[in-house]
Amino acid sequence: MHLVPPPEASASLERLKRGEPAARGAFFDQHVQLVERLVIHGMGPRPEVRDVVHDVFVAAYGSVRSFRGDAAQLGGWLRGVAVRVVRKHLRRERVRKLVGLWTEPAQEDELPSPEASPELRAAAWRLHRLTAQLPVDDRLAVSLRYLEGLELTEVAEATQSSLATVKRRLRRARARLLEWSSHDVLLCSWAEGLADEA
Amino acid sequence: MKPRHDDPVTPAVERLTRDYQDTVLAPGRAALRRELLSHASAPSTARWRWAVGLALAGCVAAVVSVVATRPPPPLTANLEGVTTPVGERIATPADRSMQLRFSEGTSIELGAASSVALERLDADGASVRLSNGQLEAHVVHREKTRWEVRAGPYVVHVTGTVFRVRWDDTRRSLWVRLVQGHVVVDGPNLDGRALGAGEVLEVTEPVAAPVDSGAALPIDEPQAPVADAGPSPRPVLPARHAIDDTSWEKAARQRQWSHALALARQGGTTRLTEKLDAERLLLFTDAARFGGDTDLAVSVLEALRRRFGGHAEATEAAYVLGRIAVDQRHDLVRASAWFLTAYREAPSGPLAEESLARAMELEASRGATGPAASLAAEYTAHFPLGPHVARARALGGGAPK
Repeated sequence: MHLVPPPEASASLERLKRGEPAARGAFFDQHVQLVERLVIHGMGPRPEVRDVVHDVFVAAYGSVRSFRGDAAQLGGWLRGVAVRVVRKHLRRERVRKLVGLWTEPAQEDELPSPEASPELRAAAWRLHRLTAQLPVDDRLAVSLRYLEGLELTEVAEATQSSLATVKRRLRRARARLLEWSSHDVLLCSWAEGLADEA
Repeated sequence: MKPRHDDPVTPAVERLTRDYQDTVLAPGRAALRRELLSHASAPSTARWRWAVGLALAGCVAAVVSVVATRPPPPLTANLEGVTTPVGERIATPADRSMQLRFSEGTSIELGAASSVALERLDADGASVRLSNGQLEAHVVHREKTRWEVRAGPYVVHVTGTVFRVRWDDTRRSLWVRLVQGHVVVDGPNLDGRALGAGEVLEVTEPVAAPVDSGAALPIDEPQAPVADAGPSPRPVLPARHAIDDTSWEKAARQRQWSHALALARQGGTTRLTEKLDAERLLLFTDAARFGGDTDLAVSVLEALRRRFGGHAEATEAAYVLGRIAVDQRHDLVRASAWFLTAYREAPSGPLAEESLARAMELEASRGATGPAASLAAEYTAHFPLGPHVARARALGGGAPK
């Protein structure tokens, strides 16, 4: 079902396309937490998250003029922009690893989560480390489907892939996560609970 | 289908994400907003680089090409503090094991009365030849690794994992148990046999046919069983136990935990607990644990420790008991005690570092600052390059050097 956006939302979109600072500010305020969450889910909680969030908005401001949807579709479009920026960052990171210019991500101990159970916090951290071993596209599919909770069609749209490709990536990722977490009861149970996207 | 509603991991990830947003990102949002609205838009990672980078592009390209083509430095190995060069033959004493450590964190515990040699050592890993005896390897996973353990005509190819290898040179017999990760074993008639976590491979080197023994049998032709027929030419499963029903074991090796548990119950869990060998008891534990019967898993592990005290499997059982105590029973005191037991029993073993780190963290999380600091000091002393050394220092385990 597609909801028709209110007239003021359409006007804001037009102002955003014209590059008006107030519209850009409002767009930032409205979507910054969504973008942060997408980036954290895609690449783990690390110091680079802030820079990548910055780059997502720069890319969005730069390309919104060519956005052809209506205001109600802006969130989904931004999600696609965020996925492209995160994917680019992760791929660049792999190159940096190859030439020895890569820095280690934050350690578990440096992460703030004072009130969470230490075991679950450690499990969440281990999950990020596990997914980091997946190929970039598989990792993004996992984060969108299982951490963001998107439908398969939404994952396909955000990653600009076919439904069959998304299913294949998720199936492959699930098998690997199951294998890698076999001696980690929490993560193994988590991986076993994932949908088998056959 | 999303992860189950009772799955605790997904909410934990959500919690971690929210905390990260609230405590790390939120304070910088206003500045980020100002930055985005007041400057010409250019990606953060590219903005300053475009300014300076164009002028330096040639230099950077040259440097990168040098860095990219320069091979990384080879690893180094040391045996209890003494540097071990390639080609060095190591014979361990009859009464104790020795620890071979590599500069990137991999460690190999060489069993008592074992004989090994370091055949290759480069930036990607090493090749270790086990001439006789046993070893337990804890290989650190990296992007590009090439580790091998060679025993007779067999090669165990490793990425990042924990496994044990025994080689009996007299019987020409290889035994591999994979604790976690993934290995591939190559050798006569194996064709790259892949092993998953918990799997065991036993294989005996085939004997070459005598030159004048008459017409040779076709290689695939089945042979009638002959008493004392000598070594088998194919990988064989560990000798079956004298219990009628071993179908639970097959199911467990295929990771069908609930099915394996149901089959084990048919065979009588008490009888299995008292009669299985240590390796199979660990497999039985996995079936109980992942099949959803934590109480049974605990009683099997306790029986394993009672029956096989002093064995490596008993130490592994202590570690798993710690995991169950913390993950499923949320009993921090008991969990800490089990992890500490695992560490004390094998302070150079593959689970030692993680066990000590977990005990330290559990003591800290329940507010026992004294014990936590004491364990932290022990951690920094034993694992000065360990992944939890920063945390250990923060808990009072000594200042950075």
